Amino acid sequence: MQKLFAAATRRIRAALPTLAPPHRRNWSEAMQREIDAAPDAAAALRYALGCLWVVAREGAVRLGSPAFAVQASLTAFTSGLSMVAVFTCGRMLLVGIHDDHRALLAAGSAVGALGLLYGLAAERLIRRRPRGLMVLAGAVILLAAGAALTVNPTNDRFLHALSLETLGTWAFVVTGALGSQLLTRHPSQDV
Amino acid sequence: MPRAANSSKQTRALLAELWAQPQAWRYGYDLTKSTGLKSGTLYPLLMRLRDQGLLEAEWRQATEPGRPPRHAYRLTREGAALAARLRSEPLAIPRLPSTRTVEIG
Repeated sequence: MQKLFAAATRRIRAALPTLAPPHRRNWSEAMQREIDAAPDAAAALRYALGCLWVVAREGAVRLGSPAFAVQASLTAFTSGLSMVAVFTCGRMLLVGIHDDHRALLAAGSAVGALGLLYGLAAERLIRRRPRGLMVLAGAVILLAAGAALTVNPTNDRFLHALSLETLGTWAFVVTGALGSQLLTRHPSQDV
Repeated sequence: MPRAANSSKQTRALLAELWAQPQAWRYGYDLTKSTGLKSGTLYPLLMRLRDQGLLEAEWRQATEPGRPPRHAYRLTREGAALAARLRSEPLAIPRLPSTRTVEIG
């Protein structure tokens, strides 16, 4: 449990300056040093969670803007999809292995790969790497389009539906990310 | 009625703690321990007091050898004056809304 707490704390600690708005970056570094001063892993995690709350709220107040709302919603959306996909993949693989069901194993692997890709997208959104997100989204959209065109919908209905769904969700992610970029470039539109 | 600025229980606790040793530089983690405030409450207060010019903040060499500098805080003259004033004022207890008696029957 201590290791888990320490790992979570490290993640939060590292994310603080990234999430903090520029005028509070100094404070986020101050928080990082204080997290290090906590006597044990549980205390450090409690402290880090409080700091994360402050930084996120400061970011929201500072930006208080459609750009931030879009960015945050996209991050939540991709993180959520990633978790659901990884969970579903685990279930499918377990059943597939148990029943020696090859089609289910293939479908589970595809869902798992998608989960990882959504996780990567969330990571790029959190680290504010729009170019990296676009490259990733472009590659996924091309792959999904290829799969949608090549997979026979009557023989492999699941993979066909999955590729169409993937096209839709990634197109949504790209639109949102582009919108967020446009809003960021026009701060006068921020409320 | 709007509440006076810096009159919350948490702000008073922080100001009182800093005022107890006005010349000493204090660190965030130590302040959470001594005031009982959580980090999620402490930092917004520190930031606000700093923005209002009531608090000084600077990076200071940690007391433990080999540790990187830490952000340290102490009250400015204005902050100390406010802390002293608040200490002498009783904490305002919000008045409960008046209740009405309704006769039945």
